[in-house]
Amino acid sequence: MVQLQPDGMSTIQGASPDLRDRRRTTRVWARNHLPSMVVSIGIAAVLIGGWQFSGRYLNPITVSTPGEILRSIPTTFLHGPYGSLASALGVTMIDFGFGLLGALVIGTSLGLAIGNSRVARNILDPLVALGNSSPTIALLPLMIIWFGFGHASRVLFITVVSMWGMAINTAVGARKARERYEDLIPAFSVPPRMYLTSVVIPGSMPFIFAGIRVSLAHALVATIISGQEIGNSGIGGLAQLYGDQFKTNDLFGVIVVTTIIALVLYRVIEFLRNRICSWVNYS
Amino acid sequence: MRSSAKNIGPQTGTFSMHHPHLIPVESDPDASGHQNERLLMRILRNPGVVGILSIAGVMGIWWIVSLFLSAIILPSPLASAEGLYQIAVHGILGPAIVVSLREMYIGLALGVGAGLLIGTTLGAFTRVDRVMLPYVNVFNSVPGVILIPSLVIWFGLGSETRVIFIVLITVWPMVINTRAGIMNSASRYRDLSKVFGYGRIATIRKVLIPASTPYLLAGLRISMGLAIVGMIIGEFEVSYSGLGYLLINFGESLQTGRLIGVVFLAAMIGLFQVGIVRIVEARFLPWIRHS
Amino acid sequence: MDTREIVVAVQDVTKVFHSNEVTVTALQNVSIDIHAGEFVSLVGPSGCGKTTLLRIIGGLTNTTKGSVETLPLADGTPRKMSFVFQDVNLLPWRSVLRNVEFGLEPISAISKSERKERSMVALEKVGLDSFASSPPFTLSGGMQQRVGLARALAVEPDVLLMDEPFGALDNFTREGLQEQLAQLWEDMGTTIIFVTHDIDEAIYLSTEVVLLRSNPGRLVETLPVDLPPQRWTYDVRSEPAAVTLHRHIRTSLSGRTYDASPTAPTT
Repeated sequence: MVQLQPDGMSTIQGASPDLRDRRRTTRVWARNHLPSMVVSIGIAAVLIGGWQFSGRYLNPITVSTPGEILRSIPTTFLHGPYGSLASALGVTMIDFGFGLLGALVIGTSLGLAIGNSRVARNILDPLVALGNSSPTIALLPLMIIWFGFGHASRVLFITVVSMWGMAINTAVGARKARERYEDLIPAFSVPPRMYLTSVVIPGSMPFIFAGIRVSLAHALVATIISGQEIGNSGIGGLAQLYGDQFKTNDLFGVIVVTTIIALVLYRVIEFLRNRICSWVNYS
Repeated sequence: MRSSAKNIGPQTGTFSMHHPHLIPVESDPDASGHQNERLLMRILRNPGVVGILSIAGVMGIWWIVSLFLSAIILPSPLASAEGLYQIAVHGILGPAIVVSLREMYIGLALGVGAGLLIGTTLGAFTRVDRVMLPYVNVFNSVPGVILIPSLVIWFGLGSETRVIFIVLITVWPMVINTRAGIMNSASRYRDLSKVFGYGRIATIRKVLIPASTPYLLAGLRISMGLAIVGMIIGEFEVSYSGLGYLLINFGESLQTGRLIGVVFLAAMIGLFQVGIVRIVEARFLPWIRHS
Repeated sequence: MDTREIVVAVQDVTKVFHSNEVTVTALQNVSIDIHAGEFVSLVGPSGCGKTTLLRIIGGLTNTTKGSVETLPLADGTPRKMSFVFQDVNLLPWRSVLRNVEFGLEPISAISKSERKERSMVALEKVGLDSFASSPPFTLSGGMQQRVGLARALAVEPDVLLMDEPFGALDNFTREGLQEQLAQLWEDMGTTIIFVTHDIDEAIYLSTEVVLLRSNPGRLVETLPVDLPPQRWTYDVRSEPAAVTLHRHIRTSLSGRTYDASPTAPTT
């Protein structure tokens, strides 16, 4: 920053964006990043190779080896010893999808209400603060008592756990956007509803996405734990079973697949955020 | 010396701006007819009063609903408080709290410490960061709970497993926030430490780490929240003691009053931690709010 | 021939920045000598590379081509340099005094008590000794900039580099600080290199004004400011010499000349 823009230069017009410069930029990027990528991959290769090698001398029940895990993933995925990972994933994704959707809808509504109206803020703020700073995961046994061991119980649990991050972030964003542009209302006689839809909501999009990210993380945890504790279903339940039976290969397969799904989900959110909030400089 | 700072500081000024309605009602004889009405409005607009009212409102709704339901589904607030009181008196609660908090704070301390160390290294040494960042991103995305069954295989059902689990989930927010803080302060204060001839280590110690405190506190808040969650989850799955075990146990034996009591207690622990960080920040790091 | 002692020799410096497929020549073949005890202002529009030149002299940026040499004192010891930033850069978690001490801490030859003493002296010079224990956020922008100046002075520099230090301040505060800086400079006799885009400020403070133009950043000319010292004792701006110089600088930087004076319309 400091180096590239001395004096807050306005001399861009005098500059020439020619092909040589583009090549140079690519070259600079490659020089900075290629070696570290090689080292990164090298470290991974050494670790995985070492694990594979030492696996020969270690107890296969407790650690397994990368090769074994890879080999077992297709079988685990299609027809594992306790039902396929694919069908478990199906069950889990339904719970997760509805649970997160509920959290996003309720969280955004709460947040917009808090950020947009002072009365709503005074009433709801303490409740949301309480929900956000207390471990809502503790409500799990209550969910079982109230809603049993089925989908409904898990979905509601996921929603209750993951809605607070959404609410808090949206509230902060909406309030900031609202206060930042408030002078526009009298200046252009903007009607309140239009102010909400065309200023407050778009203005709080970066915060909404931050909220989605937090909610996503909480929802993933809640999904897995509800699978383990509420009716032994889905990926969580499967991991639990494999763990109890010392099926280490299959257990690691579940961990790998879950991690990949989580990574993909985070990437999707990031992609959408960069698309929708293209006016914010994320670097 | 400190008092002079306090006198100049605009702290009190900005604080009262958030509470413009705390100004006492002036006795205006002309408006005496509307005065009661206005007083009511002012009370209703006071965030503190309304906050208490809204929590009281939720309690009230809970109480009314509980009148129509069996005590197994929803005991009244009073019955829940009594449940909590009973397990406290019977010596169930005390040991559980001790076990839980001990594991939680050991795990949190280790996780936060490791996070600070890793985050500072990544933030201050660009080359290390370029190599390690992909790994950090992957580890940060792993939903920690999925690791529990394998942790049990490796470390058994003891207290170590839960501590390790808490370390594993609290370390990443700390790493990411510390790294971001160090990087931002490095670009902000680069010229300063160069002009006055500070070396790498002196810059990290005297400039970068203090300048990152706001980020460190943000990370700490997230990690603290996760530590309670980790403690409860750990005890759900791997335990015969602690608050999480009590939750599961009271849930399974349908002692709903006691269950809600423990939920309430867990919420209080969460609030308490957030409050402590906030107080420390306001008392010892007033500059954070002004930068 | 110029017989004054040279402090900083800038020789044929070129600086090119590359960013996002764009190349910017911030400085092209710039050479100047800075002489001992002078107050030199680098003046020009934004983008003329004046800040870049100052940063190169201070060792904060390197050159693409050419060299900058800071010559040692007569006895061979290297000249100490210090910097005042436009955005002050005070450390918000340190008190005013501790901020001033910051510049002295890496010098291991200075003991803790000596450090404190020297910092207090520097704070007295800028008139802020009574705020020594205040946190910076309780100070106004002008006062913060004075702390920045005290921090730079505490290291007792031979050359003081100042990068638009008063740029962000309002007019009244700025004039107060200009006067204070002029007095300090006449007391100490330190060489000062001062970046500004304010022509009046440059004339009021300097003994020498260096003009730079942009696209690409290059040296136009170096002008002496022949006005008597103790400039806070008289109205510099209305001195005929200052008015002439001001007009010359403006003409020189804009490349425009005005032949006619406004005259009453004739019918």
